[in-house]
Amino acid sequence: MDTVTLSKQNRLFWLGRYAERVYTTTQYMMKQYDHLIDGGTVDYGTFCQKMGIPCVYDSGDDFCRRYLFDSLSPYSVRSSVEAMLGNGMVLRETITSPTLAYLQMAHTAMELAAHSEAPGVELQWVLDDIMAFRGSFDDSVEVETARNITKAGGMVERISLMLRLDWQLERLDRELQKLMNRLYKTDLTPEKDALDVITRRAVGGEDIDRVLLLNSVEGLFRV
Amino acid sequence: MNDLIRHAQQINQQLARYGVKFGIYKNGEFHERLFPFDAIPRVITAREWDSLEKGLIQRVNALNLFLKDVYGEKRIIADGVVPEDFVYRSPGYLPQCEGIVPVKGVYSHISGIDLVKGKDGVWYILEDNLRIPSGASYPLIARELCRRCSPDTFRHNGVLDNRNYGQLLRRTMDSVNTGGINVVFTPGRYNAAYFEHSYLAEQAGAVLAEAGDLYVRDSVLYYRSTQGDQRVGAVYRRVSDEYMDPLTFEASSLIGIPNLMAAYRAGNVAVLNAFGNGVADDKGIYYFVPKMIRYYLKEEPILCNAPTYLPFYEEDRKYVLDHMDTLVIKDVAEAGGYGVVFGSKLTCEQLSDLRNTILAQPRRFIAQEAIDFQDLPIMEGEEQVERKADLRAFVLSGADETVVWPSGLTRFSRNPDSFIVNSSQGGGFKDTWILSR
Amino acid sequence: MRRDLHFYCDILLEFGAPVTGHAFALRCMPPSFPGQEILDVTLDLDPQVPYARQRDGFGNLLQIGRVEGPHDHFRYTARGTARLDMSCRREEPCHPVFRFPSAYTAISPEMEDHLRGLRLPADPADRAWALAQAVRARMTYAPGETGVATTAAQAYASGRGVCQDFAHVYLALARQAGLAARYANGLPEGEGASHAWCEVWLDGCWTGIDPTRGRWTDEGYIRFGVGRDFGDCPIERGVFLGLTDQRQKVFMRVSEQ
Repeated sequence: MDTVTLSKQNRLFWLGRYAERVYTTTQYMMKQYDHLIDGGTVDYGTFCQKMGIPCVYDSGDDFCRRYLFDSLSPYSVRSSVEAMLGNGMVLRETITSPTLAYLQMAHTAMELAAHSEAPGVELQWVLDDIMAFRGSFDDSVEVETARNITKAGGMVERISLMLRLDWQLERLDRELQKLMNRLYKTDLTPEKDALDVITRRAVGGEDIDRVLLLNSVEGLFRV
Repeated sequence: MNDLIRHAQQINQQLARYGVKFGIYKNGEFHERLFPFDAIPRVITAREWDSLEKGLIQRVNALNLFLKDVYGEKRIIADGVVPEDFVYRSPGYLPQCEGIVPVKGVYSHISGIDLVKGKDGVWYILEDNLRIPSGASYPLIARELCRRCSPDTFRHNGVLDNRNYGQLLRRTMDSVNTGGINVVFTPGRYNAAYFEHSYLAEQAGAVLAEAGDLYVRDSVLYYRSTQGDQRVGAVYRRVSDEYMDPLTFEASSLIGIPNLMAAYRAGNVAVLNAFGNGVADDKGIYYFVPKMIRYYLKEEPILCNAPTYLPFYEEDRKYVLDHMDTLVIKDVAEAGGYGVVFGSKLTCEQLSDLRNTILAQPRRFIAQEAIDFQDLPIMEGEEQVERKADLRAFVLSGADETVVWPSGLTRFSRNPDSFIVNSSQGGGFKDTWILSR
Repeated sequence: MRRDLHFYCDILLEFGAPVTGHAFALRCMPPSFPGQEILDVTLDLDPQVPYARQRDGFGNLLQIGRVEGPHDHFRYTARGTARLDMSCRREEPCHPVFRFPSAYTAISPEMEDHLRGLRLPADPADRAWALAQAVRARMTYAPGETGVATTAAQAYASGRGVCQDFAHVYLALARQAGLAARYANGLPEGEGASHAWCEVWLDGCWTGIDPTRGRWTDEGYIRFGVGRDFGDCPIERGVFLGLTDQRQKVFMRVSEQ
């Protein structure tokens, strides 16, 4: 069925963003967990500032636990998993039941992780399930524009997190170019000013202020 | 069968993997629950099914003719077979539908007929659901998963494949489609049966839509898509009549489609099921269904009703008042397992209150003999126990034919003392096998 | 007595802020039937949008359409000429639903008591008349105290209301007293707002009776719609997107040519 409503556009885009957010922040937090094992510290104050979320944590351990698993906080990774599944659930007949099942599995794994003493194993399942989701999504979503909207959402989220967290910045230019390529294969209309800024960096190689670049990526689509 | 029971845990894991859930509201909050599944199937032999199938088709055909008659010529009332009180006082009767003939004259496209099997081996009809009967998706997906977990079971037992429900639904929709896409219309994610809405849309190859996705222009229903508006030819709606069109019915509804009634009236869209079907699945009208079969089809009913009394008739009223302590009394205005009272469980005071209510409003109640159901085995931990169960059969009526899905939803009560198997009251479900021999 | 009456019905809805996706269903064009012949009629909509004409389940004329883009008002103006002649009325069948209570006209125990105390005449026409007088005796005309959602039982309990409430109370009592009766609305001769009255099925003919004014209707009443109660035949219903307040200005006039 090659039809996508405007409300579905929104869900597809945010499905991509949340799946990517869960994937990247889970990876990031697994690294922080590992760091704590050797008695290292976590600069969660700076993390919260960069992410633009309230800092309500009182230790590195508390941060690792609650940023991941606090179901009452809208900023936790667990809440992002809820939002990811919620967007997937309303897209069943577009993304197919087998694809949706991987989101359901990631959700189940996250619930198990939240109740685990050593959540690393279950968090790895979350990552596995999201990878499987991506593969299944690619394979089973027939409508190309639908596929590209979700992918564009994922790219926006990934670049946003890279810029916020200084995470894998060496891959930034490659990701920006991928986003530019994807842009025209969606039905989405990009904001002109934001697109200009991104083009200057991705195509012209210009050195752009990081905050301006971040705002441009975040504001590229009004979905 | 033992192999299936051994794999019960795996099957339940698979059901969780696919998010097979239903929603309930508790203290005003929405929760989703897994629908408990019991691995031991209900088994119906080919011979038994043959008569059930014929009886169900006969019943649904008669009910469709009744709906056409009630909103048209009203012969059955004029001929004194159904008293007008049971039509015009029914909350399901919608005079707004007078004179409208739905596309191809089909009113109840998807009918859910609830039956129980008595200890005497006889199947009894419990009630007809001609508005938006739900539940087909659960046995549909459960079968897929049972086959995956225990292939041997299905290699050896000759179970008719039930995974064609999506195609049957699609064929039904296509047969009444007026030229446009097929849509499943849902009130949204927070509806108890959202899983089913989205799963059936996928299985039938239809588009799942909510209120904002559809609108009526020039008496035609359209779906807003990014490629422009698309005409809708058939809408399988999972929203009840009163909320479907705020300009015709409940004005405050936010989940409906304004002026859908105009598109429907003009014959520009098929609505599955039609508006106003509630007049035919009322607990009061149930009593008259065997009479309808004789009246419209000139045939003897193949399936029987549970023995039912209408306090509306003086003779029945006397019997009901004399036998209240053994009868099941149902309030015709209630649904979903509510408003059902077992006389044997009432105190003297409650009996006397009920007696007075029946005397004051005889039309509001029906009374039935409590059927001695055959219990079905379920697994409770490692132990096998017997529980009450019913069967909802799904009957699909398109423009040219009426077919019965070779399966059904078997619901059971987990509470050993309860006769009520409704999922909103904590029951579970089983697969229903129809054997090829 | 044959009369040709010119009617003019102008209703303006004003929105505090622009609204969109405005779907409407109007019943503002009177139909022709024996006793009322519409010689000519036009309907103007502003914003000007096309509308479809249909008949609802009660036989009323419907005008259905949609204003898609932002608009801060919606105005509909119906005008035309009606030829009224009570002597042209014909016998017609009565739909049984008009003998049963409806959403707005369910009877309350105190109304039943009242009815029992009335000692109504056996002749249906006399009974219909006696009931209208009983409603007039019980109810006081009091604008602004009831709303569109007020039921017959509520209006009866307060003893106050407008024409819609008088009609609902009348219908509840009349149906309980064994008469087939229905709600009617439209324009009476003169200037002002629309009016609601009732029709009772007497000797096979729908006969108008106005419980608010305590009289049978005559060639001064142009009928727009009928139904079980107000809910079946409102002159205008609409839904739109936008959070705003809404004001309504109504002007109607019926006069001899």
